[in-house]
Amino acid sequence: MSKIVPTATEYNTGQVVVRKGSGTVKVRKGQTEEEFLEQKNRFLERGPVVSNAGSFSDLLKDISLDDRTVRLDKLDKIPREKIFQDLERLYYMREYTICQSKAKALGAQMDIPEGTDLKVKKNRNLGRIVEFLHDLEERCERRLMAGGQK
Amino acid sequence: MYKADIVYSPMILAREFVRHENARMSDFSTSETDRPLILQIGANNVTDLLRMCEMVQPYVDGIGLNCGCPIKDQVREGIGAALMSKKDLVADMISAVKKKFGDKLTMEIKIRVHPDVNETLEFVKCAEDAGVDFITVHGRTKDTRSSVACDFEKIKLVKQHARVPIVANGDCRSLEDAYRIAKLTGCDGVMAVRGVLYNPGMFAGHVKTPWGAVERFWDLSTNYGLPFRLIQHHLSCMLDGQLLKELHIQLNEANSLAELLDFFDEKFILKRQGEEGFGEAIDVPYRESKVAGESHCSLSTEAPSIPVATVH
Ligand SMILES: Cc1cc2nc3c(=O)[nH]c(=O)nc-3n(C[C@H](O)[C@H](O)[C@H](O)COP(=O)(O)O)c2cc1C
Repeated sequence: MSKIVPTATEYNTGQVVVRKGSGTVKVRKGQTEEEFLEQKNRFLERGPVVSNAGSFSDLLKDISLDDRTVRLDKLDKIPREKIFQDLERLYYMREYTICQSKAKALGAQMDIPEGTDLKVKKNRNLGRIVEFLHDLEERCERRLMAGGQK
Repeated sequence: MYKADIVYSPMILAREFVRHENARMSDFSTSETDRPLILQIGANNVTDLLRMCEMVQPYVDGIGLNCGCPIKDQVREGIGAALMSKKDLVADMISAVKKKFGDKLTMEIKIRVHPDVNETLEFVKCAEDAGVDFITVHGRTKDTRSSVACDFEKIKLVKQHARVPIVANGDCRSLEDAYRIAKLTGCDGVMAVRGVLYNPGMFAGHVKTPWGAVERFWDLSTNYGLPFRLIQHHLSCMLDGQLLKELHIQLNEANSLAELLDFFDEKFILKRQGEEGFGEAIDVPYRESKVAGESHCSLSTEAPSIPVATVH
């Protein structure tokens, strides 16, 4: 079987040889045409993340914030960050009542057993989520007390 | 909004982009108003570059090949400034893209100058023969520190010999600079990077970040979901030199978006979309007391547009 000799200047698999500072040679693995087509189709199906100045009412209806089954502690980082950003957007828009109630609901849905030590290493992530929600709730409360709702 | 004619994405690595969905999600987001958009690519071989072009072509106006990034990790991989000594590979990359996409995809390269400018002229000729559409030239070599002044003489020489449009880059901090650099080098456009980071209103003739830009940035970045630390960093740059020192420190020390927003609402009048005068104020509107009047508003003066490009 002939071995693929990587060349950077021809269309092949994208396998390239890189010479590190120490003089050692590293091979950066290629990608077969099939692997590429799978990635390409996956990307073209949905396209890139498009950020448009979307209407605010969409955000208020956002299922992710209302869905009773959403468990922040079980979500992957990307969708979890998206929910945090949605909450922050509500806060920015001076929708303190809604922001507070959504933060509260999301906190309650996590159902953390009593006595869980949020400071230990394995719970650090959970601790961060709890702290984020708690801080936001408190800030909403302060804004509402000061008559800050728009 | 602030009169940039072309906008650029930061460099996105082709190898990661064509292989991993997470890289695509975190590296590339765009918007309908981000046009014309050149998406800048970091690549060290024809295959990754072509594949990336195939994926992004429907969403951009052009692609740029980064031949100037001096970051060691990238150079070691043969990416960025490493390409400055590989003109044949760069030519192969350009002709592969142009052969496949022709006029459907504009192709730019962004280069630095060489210590010996003749090498740069040769490099440019090679890229032109391969079919590049335009070239951006940063007037520093790959080893010149950014604190050392940009060499406009070298850019001028490149422009004098070039057949394709040349965009000059380096040390453009104001609209005046843009005109001066355009005149000095004879270039077809001027790209600003740090200037625009510190003052996004620069090309519209603002001498410092207008407060309206701060308001618009808050609106867009919270809408788009920019990570908090990036929002904080951009605001810190935009307001550099405009705030009392202790306020600037406070801005930099906030630990969450809500905390940063509390700080802004407490110290300044930060209007939201839909409020009268949103996005129009020029000076920082300090809030003297809770019931401070909403003054400090004035409209920016119109400035003539010149061909410019910016990295955002
Ligand atoms: C924060 C920052 C990020 C940059 N990222 C890129 C990049 O992704 N691609 C690129 O070609 N140059 C990049 N550059 C370099 C600039 O494009 C430009 O060549 C350099 O800053 C000189 O121009 P200026 O004086 O207008 O800043 C970056 C510069 C800065 C300060």
